[in-house]
Amino acid sequence: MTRMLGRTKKSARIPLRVSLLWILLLSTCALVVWTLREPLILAYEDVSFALAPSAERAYQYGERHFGESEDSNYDIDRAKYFLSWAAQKDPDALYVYHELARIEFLQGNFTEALRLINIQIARHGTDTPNSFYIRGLIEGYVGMYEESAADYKYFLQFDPHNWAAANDCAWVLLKAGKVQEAADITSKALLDDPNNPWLLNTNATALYEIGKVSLAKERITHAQNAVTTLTDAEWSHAYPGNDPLIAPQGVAAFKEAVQSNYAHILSASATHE
Amino acid sequence: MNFSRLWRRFKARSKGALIPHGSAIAVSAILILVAFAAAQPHSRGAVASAETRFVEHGNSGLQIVPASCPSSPHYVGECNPSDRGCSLSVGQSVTTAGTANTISWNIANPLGYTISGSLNPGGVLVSSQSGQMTVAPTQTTTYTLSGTLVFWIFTQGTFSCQNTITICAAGQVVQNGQCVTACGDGLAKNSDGTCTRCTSPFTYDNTVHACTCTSGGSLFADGSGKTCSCPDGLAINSDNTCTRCVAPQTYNAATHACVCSGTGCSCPDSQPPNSDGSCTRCPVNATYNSSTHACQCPTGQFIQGGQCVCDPSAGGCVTIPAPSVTQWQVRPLLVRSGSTTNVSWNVANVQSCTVTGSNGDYWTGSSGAKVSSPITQQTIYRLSCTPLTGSSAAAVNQSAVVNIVPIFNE
Repeated sequence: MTRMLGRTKKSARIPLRVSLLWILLLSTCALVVWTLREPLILAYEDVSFALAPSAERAYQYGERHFGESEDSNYDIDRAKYFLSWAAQKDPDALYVYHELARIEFLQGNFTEALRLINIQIARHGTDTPNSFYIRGLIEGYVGMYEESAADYKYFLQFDPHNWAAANDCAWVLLKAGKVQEAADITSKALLDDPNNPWLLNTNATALYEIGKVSLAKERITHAQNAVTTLTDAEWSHAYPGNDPLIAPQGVAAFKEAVQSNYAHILSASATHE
Repeated sequence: MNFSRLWRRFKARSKGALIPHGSAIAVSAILILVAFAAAQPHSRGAVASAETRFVEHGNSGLQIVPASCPSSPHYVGECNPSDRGCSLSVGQSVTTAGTANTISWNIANPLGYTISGSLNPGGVLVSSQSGQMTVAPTQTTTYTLSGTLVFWIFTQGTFSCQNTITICAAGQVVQNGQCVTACGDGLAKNSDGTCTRCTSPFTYDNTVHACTCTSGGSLFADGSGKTCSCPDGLAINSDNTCTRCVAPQTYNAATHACVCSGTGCSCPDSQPPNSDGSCTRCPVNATYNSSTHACQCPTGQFIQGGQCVCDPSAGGCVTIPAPSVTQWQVRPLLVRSGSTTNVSWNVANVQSCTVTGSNGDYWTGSSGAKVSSPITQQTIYRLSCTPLTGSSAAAVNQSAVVNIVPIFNE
């Protein structure tokens, strides 16, 4: 009996080497799962969508590949596929046409973007006030400056302290020749956000164009200082829906523009003085 | 070193192992190679958009750079460069040391990810999309809320936002959201912002905004045992004030005011009392607010010299006409498939209007009469107008629905 018990007790112990191998195997599996997480999630999305397709699920997956998140998620074509599917199944979903319009806008298809955002506005109106902002953005890009300013102003009623709306409204006002109005709107927005490089740059431009060169110089100098610390993350935050990987190029382009304005105004200021 | 001998000894001692060692090692090696390959920088190139390098040149040649922050559906609270994915607000941004203050947060999480964050200083764990907590800083403190959004076991995004509570220096008080210096006598203002001084044994009570009784003083004229007496020698009110009321009004210690109560009670001017029982009368154009027990002038005006006067800096007394929709018509509202409808509108006192159709029709202008594109399905037309600058009126937002005549199959 004792011998049997002794044999049982001995064989129940797992050799140390085996334990270490199990630990190694499990650790490696965990590493692989972590490394392959995005392909695994994509596979999960495809399988779950195939098994239980719905407009709500399609919208969620579309947003996941279009929203501001880790760069490994960003896939605008995949987002467009899911959002288009959602729009077909549930055209009354609150933001679906808004998101499709944004995608078309980012891809440079402005006519289609305008058509989609008009559908969004016709269906939902002020339930999605930033749809008017999007339409203003599209109109600005295609040169419809008066219409763009009207839409920006309409949106600003709902979000009067939104710096981007103030900045963009000033942009199209400048293009429409309403320089003083552009200066006023950006000066007012700077009270809420005094270190915002976009506002500083646009305000400097407006001030310069109405002849306030020394004040423009002050603003553009401030903009130059502010933009030097602009990070990729902050740029992505100001341009949602863009590929996070493109942020370095966007930051560089913005810095070039501010630097160019800085040099131009400084030169004019020297002559002016 | 004899590796084959080591291998034989290794195999012998591992007899009875739950899994063959060689297989386990081989599988692990394969998995490591797969993980290594997958860990290589992904080959996806950056995708540029129409916005990436877009600049416009102004008339002066300077470059204008638009942004697009409020584009996304969850833009609220995200359009501040220092706020990313959340908003953090405080009850009082300027206060005195040790004063209780409420911090509220709201995290943008439209896809319902799991929230894992913290509020610092303090390291308070945050896992809810919105919430609040009470703090009482003794020095100017910047609070930062930051964390991650997790989907299943993977991090899908981060959030970070800040707000600052400014603490006034010793001897300063808060007035109109700013730290202000002491009164003209060199002493600190009362916490309600007044400079009222009281003669001992009275002290200023900020809750009733009056001098109230403290210990010390003489007995009442009637010999009652209270330690304070009012200057007129009569008994002090139950809220420790000496406010006196003219009959038939009586002093209400709860509202700290003279009120008219009981049936048949009328004010000294023979008019009925206000709803809170007080007899306070307001200047022309002002209305009495029973909640605050004070007179209130229209927006942009304030009481001075017993009347409401305009404050142009606050936009007072400037009348901006509200939008007036004199025409908004879509006819007919029921058409055959492929037919058109007529859309006409006329709106006064607006900056601009747009008419948008869900079939893509789009017109601008404060008035117009247009023929629609051929209508092949239910179509919604929406009129949207912006009020004049300075107007407090709501934006115009009207719609009309055009339906298709059903086709009956017999």
